[in-house]
Amino acid sequence: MAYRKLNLDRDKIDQCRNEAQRIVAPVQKYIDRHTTTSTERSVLRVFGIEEAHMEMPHVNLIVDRLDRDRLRRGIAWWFCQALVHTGLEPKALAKKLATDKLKLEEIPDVPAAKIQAVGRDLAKKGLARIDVRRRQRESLLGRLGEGPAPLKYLIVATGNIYDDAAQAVSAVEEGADIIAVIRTTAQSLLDYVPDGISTEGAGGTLATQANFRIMRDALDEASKKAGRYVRLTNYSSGLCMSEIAVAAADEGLDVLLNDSMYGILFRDINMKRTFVDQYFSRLICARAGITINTGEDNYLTTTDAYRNAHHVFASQFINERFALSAGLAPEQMGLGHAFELDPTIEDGFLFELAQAQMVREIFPRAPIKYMPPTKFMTGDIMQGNVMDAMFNVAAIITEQSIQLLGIPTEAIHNPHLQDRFWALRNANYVFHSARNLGDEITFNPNGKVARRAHTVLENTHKYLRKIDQAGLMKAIAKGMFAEIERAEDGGKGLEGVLQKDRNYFNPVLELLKKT
Amino acid sequence: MITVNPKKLKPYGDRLDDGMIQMSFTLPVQACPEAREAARLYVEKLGLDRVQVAQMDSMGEGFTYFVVYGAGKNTLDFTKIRVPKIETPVMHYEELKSYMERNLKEPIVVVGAATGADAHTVGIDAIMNMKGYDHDYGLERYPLFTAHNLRSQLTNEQLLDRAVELKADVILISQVVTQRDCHIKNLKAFRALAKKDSRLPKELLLIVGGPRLDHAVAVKLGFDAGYGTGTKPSEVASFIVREYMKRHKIAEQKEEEAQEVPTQQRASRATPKAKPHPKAASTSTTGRSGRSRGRRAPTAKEAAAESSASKTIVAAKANPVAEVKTEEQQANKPKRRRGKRGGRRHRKKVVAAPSSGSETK
Repeated sequence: MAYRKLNLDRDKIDQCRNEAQRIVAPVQKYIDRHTTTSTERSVLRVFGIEEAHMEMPHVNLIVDRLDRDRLRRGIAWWFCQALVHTGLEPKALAKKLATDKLKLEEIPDVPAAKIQAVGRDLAKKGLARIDVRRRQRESLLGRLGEGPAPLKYLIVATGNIYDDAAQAVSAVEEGADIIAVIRTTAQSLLDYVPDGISTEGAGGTLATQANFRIMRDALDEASKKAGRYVRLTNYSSGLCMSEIAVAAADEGLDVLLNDSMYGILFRDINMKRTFVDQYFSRLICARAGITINTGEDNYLTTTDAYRNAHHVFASQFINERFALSAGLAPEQMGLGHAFELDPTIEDGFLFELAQAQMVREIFPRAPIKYMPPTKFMTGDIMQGNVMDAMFNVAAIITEQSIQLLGIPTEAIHNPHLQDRFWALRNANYVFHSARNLGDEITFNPNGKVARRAHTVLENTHKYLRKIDQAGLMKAIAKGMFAEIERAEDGGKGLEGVLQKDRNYFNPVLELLKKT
Repeated sequence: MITVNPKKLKPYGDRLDDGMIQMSFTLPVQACPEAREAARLYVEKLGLDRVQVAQMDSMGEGFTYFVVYGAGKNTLDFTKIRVPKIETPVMHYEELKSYMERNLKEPIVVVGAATGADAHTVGIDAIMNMKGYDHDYGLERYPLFTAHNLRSQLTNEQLLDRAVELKADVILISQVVTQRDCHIKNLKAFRALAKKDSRLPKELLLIVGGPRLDHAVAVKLGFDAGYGTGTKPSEVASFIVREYMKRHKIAEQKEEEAQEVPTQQRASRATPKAKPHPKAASTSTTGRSGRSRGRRAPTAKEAAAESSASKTIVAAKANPVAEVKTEEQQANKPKRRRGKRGGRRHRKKVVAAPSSGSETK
C-alpha cells in the first residue's frame, strides 16, 4: 500500500476501532428503539410527498397533527391506513391531511396486512426513484470522468440561488470539482425544510429541494461543457438532516455534510435527536450513493489544535462506526480534518503533515476531506494566500481526496468571485507542479513527523477509552469533544424524539436495513 | 531620515508621498483590450493618478479580474483623527477574581445571546461558558459573575425580556453572520428597543462581539463596548467589572502591592517573577494600545470612514497568540532566544503562549 509511510501501529488502530464499536453500540441500541418527528417526515418524503401548504411542508402538517402516542407506531402506519381506506393517491391524501380536510385519527381500522402491503409498495417505489437518480449521476460521472485528486471543493454563498449558480459555473470553468452551496445558519434550527426557490438569505442560501434542482441543472450543464463531472454538496445537518438527505437523493446531490455529532456540539441540538436522525439520514445516503462529509475540522477551531489533535481522530473513529452501522461503504465516508495549527508554532507544518498523513493511512479507502486554515486567518490576505498554499502542499504530499480550497479572504467576507479565482489558481499551481510529490517522500522513522503521528495515535486510543468509560452521551456532556459541553436532555429538538411502539411500522427503514 | 508631515498624510509606496495604492477587482465583462481600458478609467474616476493595470485575467465567461496600481492625490490630517478604544487594563482570571472579591458585594448578572437569525453560538460560548476560550476561563467560572448564556436565535424583544427577568447588569450580544450588514441592522434595532425600554436600569452595560465588530463600530451604534475575533473572556470581564464599578460608584479597594498593567503581568508570568527584564517595565507603561497605535498608525488611521473600519477589523482579528508573541518579542527578547535554542521545549512554550500561563494544565 502506497499509503504506509508513518509505520503506525496497526494493532493500535484496530484497538481504536474496537473502542469505537463499544462506544457506539449502546447509542445504536438507543437509536433502534426511538424515532423522531423528522425521521417520520422523511418516510413521507420517500413516499413522494414534497409539496407545501402556505409555505409549510405537507409532511410537517401531517406529522404534527398526529398525537404522540399514535406517532410512536410510525407515520407510515396511519398514512397507509388512510390510503387503504380512502383509495386516494399519496399526494392527494397528503394534501387533504395537510389542509385538515381529513384526520388520520378518524380513519377506521383496516386489516394490518393491507396497510403493510401498501406501505411496502410505496417504500419500494420511493427507493426505486432514488436508485434511478443514483444511476443517472453515476452514468454521467462515468461518461465525463472527474478531475484528478484532490478534488477541488469550493463554496458559494450569495443567498440567491441564481447568483450561486452563476458563480458556481465560473468556478467550474476555473477547475472546481465540487460545489457546495453554503446554507443559511438559521436553517439548521428550523424544524422543517423550507419550500420553493429562494433568492434571499443571510450567511448562505436556503437548502430547498427546488434550489437543489436549479443548482444540479446548472452544474450538469457546466460539467458537460468542462468535460468533467462536477459534484454538488449541501448540508444534511440540523433538525431536518434526514429529510434533507431524502431531498438530496431525489435531486442528484453527490455529497452531503453529515456528522453524527456536529449538530449537538455546534448547533446545540439535542444529542438524542441528532443520533436518531443521523442514522436515518445515513441510511438514505448509503442507498443513494451519496458521500458524507464529517465535521471534525470544526473541533480544531474551538480547541487547541496542537494539544487536542486526538479529538479529531477519536471523533473520526466514532463517525466511521456510526456510518458503518448505517450501511455506508468506506468509499462514502468523507471524514473531515483540518489544517488549523497555529502558524507561529515552529515546525507546525511538519505536524500538519503528520496529522494529514495519519488520516490518509488510518482511513485508506475513505474520500477524506481536508479543510483549510480558518482560525488563524486574519485580514492579511497575502499571508492568507501563503498559508493556503502550504495547506495545498500538505494535501498533495499526503494524497488527500477532497480539498476544500482555502480562501485568502476567509474571516473578512463571503468569498467574492475573484477570491475564489485566487484560491483555484493557487491550488491548480500547487497540485499540478507537485502532482507526484507524495510518491517521492518517505518520512524519517525517528523524525518529528513520525513521532508526532505516534503520539497522536496513542492519545487517540487513550481518549477513546476514556469516552468508552464515560459513555458517549456522558462524554459529550462533559465536554470531551471540542471542549463544548452539551447536556443529555438539553438543546433543541428533544420534544421530537419518541420511543417506538412495539408495533412500529416503517417500511422504508425495513428496506434500507436489508440492503 | 524621512520627515513625515502628519498634517498631509499620503500612502507610501517606495518614496514619501508617492501615494501608491494597489487594488484588485472584477469587472463583469469579457477580458479584452476595452476591458483593460475600462479598468484603468474606472480607477482614474476613483481619484487616482498614474493608473497602471498590472494584470488582467479572464475568470470564465463574462468576468475579468484586474490588479491595478494608482497614485492617490488626496492627503489627510492625521493629527485630527480620534478613534474610541477600550482603555480599561486587562486582568487575568486569578487576578480579576480577587479584584472582584475585594470590590464587589454582589455578583454582576450577565445575560448573553446570539440574536436574530444567527445560529452561531461559538462566540457567546467562548466568552460565557465555563471553559472559555484559548485557556482563558469564561464568565461562568468567575464566582462573582452570574452568567446566563441564552445561546442563539433570540429576537431582540426576547433578549430584553429575559434580561429584565434575570435582572441583568450586562447584556452581551454576539453577531457572527454579517451578510449584507444584517448584524448592523439587528444591533441598531436592539439599541432602539433598549433605549425605549423603561424596565432596564440606567447603569445597564451593553456589549457586542463578532468577527465584523470592534469597539469603534459598537460605540457608533450606541453600545458601551465592542469586541472582535480572538477576544478572550478576561478582556470582556475586565471591562465589565471596571465599568460596572464606575457606574455604580464603587470605589476601588487597592491591594497592598497593586499590580500594574497587563503586559507586565504576562511578562512576569513568562519569566520567573524574580527578574523582570528591564525592557519589560518600559513597554508595560505604554501598554498595548499605546504601542500598537505607534505601529499601525501609517497604514490605519488615515483613510477616514471606510478603511478605518477595515483597519479595526485587522486589529481585532490579529489573533491573540500573535499579540502575545510580539509583546514578548519586544519586552523580553533574551528569553525568546533561549526558547528557540531549547528546540522541543520551545515548541511547548509557544503552544502554551496563548494560554495565560497559570491556567495551563
